[in-house]
Amino acid sequence: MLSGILSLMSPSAAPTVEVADADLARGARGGDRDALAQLLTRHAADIHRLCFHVAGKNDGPDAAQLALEKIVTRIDQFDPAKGSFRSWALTVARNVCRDRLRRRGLERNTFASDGDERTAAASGPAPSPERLALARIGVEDLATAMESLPEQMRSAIVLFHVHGETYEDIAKTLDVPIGTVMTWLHRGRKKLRAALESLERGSAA
Amino acid sequence: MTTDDRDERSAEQLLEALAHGREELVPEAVLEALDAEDPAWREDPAHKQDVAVARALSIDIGLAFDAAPPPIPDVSAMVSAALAAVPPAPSRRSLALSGMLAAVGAAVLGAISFGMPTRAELLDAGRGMLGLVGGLDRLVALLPGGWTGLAFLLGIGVLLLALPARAIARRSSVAVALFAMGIGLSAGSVHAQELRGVWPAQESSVTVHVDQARAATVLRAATTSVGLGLVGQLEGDERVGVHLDNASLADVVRAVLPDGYIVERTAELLIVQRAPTTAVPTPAAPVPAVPSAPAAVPAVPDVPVTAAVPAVPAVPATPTTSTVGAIVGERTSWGEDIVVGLTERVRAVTTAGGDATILGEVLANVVTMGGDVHVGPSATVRGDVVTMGGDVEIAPGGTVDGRLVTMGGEVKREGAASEPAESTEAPSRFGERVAGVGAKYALLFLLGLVLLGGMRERHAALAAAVVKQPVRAGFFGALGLTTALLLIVVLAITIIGLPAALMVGLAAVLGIYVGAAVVASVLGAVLPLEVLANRPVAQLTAGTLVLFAVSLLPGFVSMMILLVVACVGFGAVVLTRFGGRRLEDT
Repeated sequence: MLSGILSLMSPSAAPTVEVADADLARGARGGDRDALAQLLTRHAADIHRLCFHVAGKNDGPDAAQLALEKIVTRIDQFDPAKGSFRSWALTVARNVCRDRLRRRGLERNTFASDGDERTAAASGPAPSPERLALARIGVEDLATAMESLPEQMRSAIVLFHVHGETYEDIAKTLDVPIGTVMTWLHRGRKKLRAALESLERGSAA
Repeated sequence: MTTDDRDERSAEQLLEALAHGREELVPEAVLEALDAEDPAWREDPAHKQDVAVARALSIDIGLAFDAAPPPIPDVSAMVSAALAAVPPAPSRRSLALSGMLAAVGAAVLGAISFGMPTRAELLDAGRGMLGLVGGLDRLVALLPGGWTGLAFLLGIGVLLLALPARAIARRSSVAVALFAMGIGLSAGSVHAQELRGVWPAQESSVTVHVDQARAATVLRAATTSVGLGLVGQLEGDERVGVHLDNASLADVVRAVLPDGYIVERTAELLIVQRAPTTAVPTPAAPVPAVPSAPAAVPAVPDVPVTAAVPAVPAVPATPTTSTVGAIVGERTSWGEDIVVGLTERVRAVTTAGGDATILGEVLANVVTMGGDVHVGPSATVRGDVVTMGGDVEIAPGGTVDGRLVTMGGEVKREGAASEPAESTEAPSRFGERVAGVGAKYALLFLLGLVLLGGMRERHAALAAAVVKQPVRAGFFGALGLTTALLLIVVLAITIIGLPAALMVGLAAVLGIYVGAAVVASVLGAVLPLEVLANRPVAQLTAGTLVLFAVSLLPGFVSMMILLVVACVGFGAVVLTRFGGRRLEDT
């Protein structure tokens, strides 16, 4: 797994997919609905995953659908010079998730300190895969634990661990400096671990 | 951010980078600082432990995500739904071509329905508009603060609308633009006194030192000091304090007089009078009435005036205007009837929300907005009679030298059949009626094109609301329209609420038309015609034609269907805040 993660951090992405995306995106921007459909089909699962983890298990599917519709509407705003279609699509999806969280009043809780809050609660002993049994965590618990994170941290963690994005790509998608991404990831993992431990303790009791 | 915060962030970024083999991402300054502190920091066991912990946690989290993947979505269904929800963007060419055709069509159809205006009719329309503008100016002058007050109210209204507008547009620039517009209108509408006659530029012979004196008293002292007599009529009893040495008379006038006065300087006199929009009390009953005389300038100054001001001589008597047959100025009112008595001669008559009964003589125009005009048997109107939303009734013997221009009303001459108003001749033939309706739908089509071309996302959100929840949209549309109607009525009761009522009315009309344009698009999209597939402009065309055909059906059927269309469309506008948010998000 580690090698997989480390390999995914390589700045270069798969060139064949990138080229094909660029061609399809060019056609889609020119009004080619088939090209647009292919692009969406290619990236819909990623968008769904991001929305599921960031917007939550209940809102995630709706957010993903809305994100796809926004991509269809705004395809002419995609600028290949600024990055890949995938990165742009994930940015759109992330913004949809953020809007939904904000409208549901969750932002007050999850955005309260703009991702800068201290993670004192998470500063426990060193993690132990055996003790945490993270590999046996269910999707429900993971989703619940994720909801305790600020939205930016959620997005960063999902993009890093689920989508295998590099720091550079994440920074581009979230429109923040790379150092900020690294801080969010570091703190986000600690906070997530604390939340998972708390859930585990609750279920054990 | 404190130094501790920066240090903590640097430490976190260092661990994150080292744990994932990306040391090149650590800022040089951080590495240099660490090297300076301890060149062997990389070999420090505690540091190694920290890096190992960070790496292990990263692995743990990765494992957790691997072990708990989200449900696999039906990608094909998602993509199909997304494509179906958003119609393809129309090409610029089709938009331009359609827009041009629709604009030309609307103009031609409009011309057919109204008939090509002759030069005389155009002149009449121009005169009517001028009359209305003049009347509006007089009416506004009656409001507290005149145009300034109205602009202030408008500014308030704009500000009140700015917040919802920002919520609708979700762009602060709209609110800023509206705010700037309000400020601009307010600033642009400020006006002061109007000085007429000859005012010497170098004059600086007025010295006045008074406190808590009436404006009339100060003016009198000032005019006396420059050897002028004072004639005029000042309203109100505001007291002012003035301390001037060797000032010009113009400066004194500007400092002392409130806005809305005309001050004319002749060789011997300073004549002060209200601007032409001066309100004159309106008699309560339609009987010949003699207006009350204006207040005269106080005969004797009753305030302390310093020795710098010479003794005040007797002021020429203010001419009265109650003499039978004398011209008494203008009659202007909001919400009240005006009667010009048998023996009266007035310059002009203007009302809003009230009738005007002319029994005597009016030298210029009679203008009513929302009221009728009755011209009595021996009455004479030298100018035009202009009504907006009111009739004109002329008794035998009554004379109107100018034009009769009514908008939304008719001219009745007692003893003769009603005649249509000159500027509102309704199309009598079926073809003209069809052309008139066609022109309206051409404009609706143009609005739809604007939405499709310039506000595609809003159009998609509105269309989604119409398609997914038409019943809910219809309910909210009916509710919204009823509420808007009630709001307009309530706001229109008070003068202050009139601008707000106007804004609500305009917003409601805009909402209805935007909603109807979207409904037309949806109607076209659901028509089972292959040629319309993925062609939004064609869909809009087809939908508009359907609505146009419906509007030609017999009265009740047509009315009911169009009412439903209006409610559903307006409901979609309300639910989505003019398309600013998706129905799912509401």
